[in-house]
Amino acid sequence: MSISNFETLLDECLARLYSGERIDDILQDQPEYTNRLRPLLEVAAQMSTLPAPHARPTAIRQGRQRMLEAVDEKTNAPCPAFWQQFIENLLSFFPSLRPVFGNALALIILAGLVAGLAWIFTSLDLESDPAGQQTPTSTMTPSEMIPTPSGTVLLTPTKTLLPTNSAIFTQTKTFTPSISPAPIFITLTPTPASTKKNVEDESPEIPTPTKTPVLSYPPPVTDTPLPPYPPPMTETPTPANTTGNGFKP
Amino acid sequence: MSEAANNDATLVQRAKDGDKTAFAALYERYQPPVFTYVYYRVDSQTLAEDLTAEVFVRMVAKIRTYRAASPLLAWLYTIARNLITDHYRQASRLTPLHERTAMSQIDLSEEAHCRLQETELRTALKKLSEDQRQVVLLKFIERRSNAQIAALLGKTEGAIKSLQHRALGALRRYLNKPNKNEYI
Repeated sequence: MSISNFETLLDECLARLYSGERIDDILQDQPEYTNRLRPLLEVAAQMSTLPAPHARPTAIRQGRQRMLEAVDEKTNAPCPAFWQQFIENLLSFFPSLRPVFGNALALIILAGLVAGLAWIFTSLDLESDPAGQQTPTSTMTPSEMIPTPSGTVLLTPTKTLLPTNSAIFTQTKTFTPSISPAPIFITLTPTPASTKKNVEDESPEIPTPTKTPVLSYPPPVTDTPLPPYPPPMTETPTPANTTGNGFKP
Repeated sequence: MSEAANNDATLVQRAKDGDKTAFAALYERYQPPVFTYVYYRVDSQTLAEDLTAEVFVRMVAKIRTYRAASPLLAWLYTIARNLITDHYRQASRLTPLHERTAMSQIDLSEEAHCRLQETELRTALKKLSEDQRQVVLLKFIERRSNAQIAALLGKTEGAIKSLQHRALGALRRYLNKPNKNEYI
């Protein structure tokens, strides 16, 4: 007899047992399976002696009341956020994950989404590069002319007459730096490595600039010699004051 | 889909929409099997009542996540199992060791007054696999038919017969009742 047939036979015997027949009477009709059926029927008979538990009526009422209160609370509660609903729905497919992850899963998924988006954008950026994955090499071409810094010093003497018939000579020195010729332009030109070189054969060539411009700041001032100080007085004499105190009105 | 399952699906849909009468109907239908399941896991009438009530509170909270693909009772059993696990985990963390020892001694003294056979059966029942225990409780305690059990657990009647066969064999081994005639 196959297992499934034996299971059907056992089920029939159990039905007879629960209808009130004695085990021996049942087994008399199945003599060839007595040894297999008897222990199972005895255990089943024992199990039937266990009481069918019932909750007390008060507990049943209280349980129903608690549930209905929970319904009210849920109805009045604000609608959960989209991401909370999303996580709930996700966890409903994997209930075993719920106690392990809980809210942590939300953070993990969010972090994963952010990382994924970042990766996608990075990939798109690389694909738009015509040079593809090749590493561009840079060639620096400095200007052929090294600029010479220079400046112009402008000296402006001034004279201030004081009431005591004396004068104060001051000189203002103004320096205007300038660079001649025009400032240096450094051009970085990406050159795709079209021919692949064997790294073991040759050491990579490092482009070296032919000239290295050095700019110092502030630029050295080539002062022209200052005029004598105080400057020679070539003024016409001041006309006589009408008030006699030497001041013009 | 069976008529009961169809009816369940309608009730669940109404419950998802917030219909209190649908929740009440589900409670009337599933409170007894859930209580039996919990009772034979915790061995305490009061605790079983409390945890059963909690199962239905959690059902309200999670009803939106329930998928009609699995039977409602199986889903409620899962909730009950998680609650029982949480309860014992919490109890073991909160109860000091010397109190736990004292409690176990009390349990032993109570067991002395209980029928030995019943204690053995309950202990053996706890050792069964989840599927086997559910079938045994529904079949031998609640006296439901194979068709009803199949509909409640979302299995075929053939699967239920197979499970009850294996469950009885396992129970016999756990009850340590050697039989002179070799079993299978």
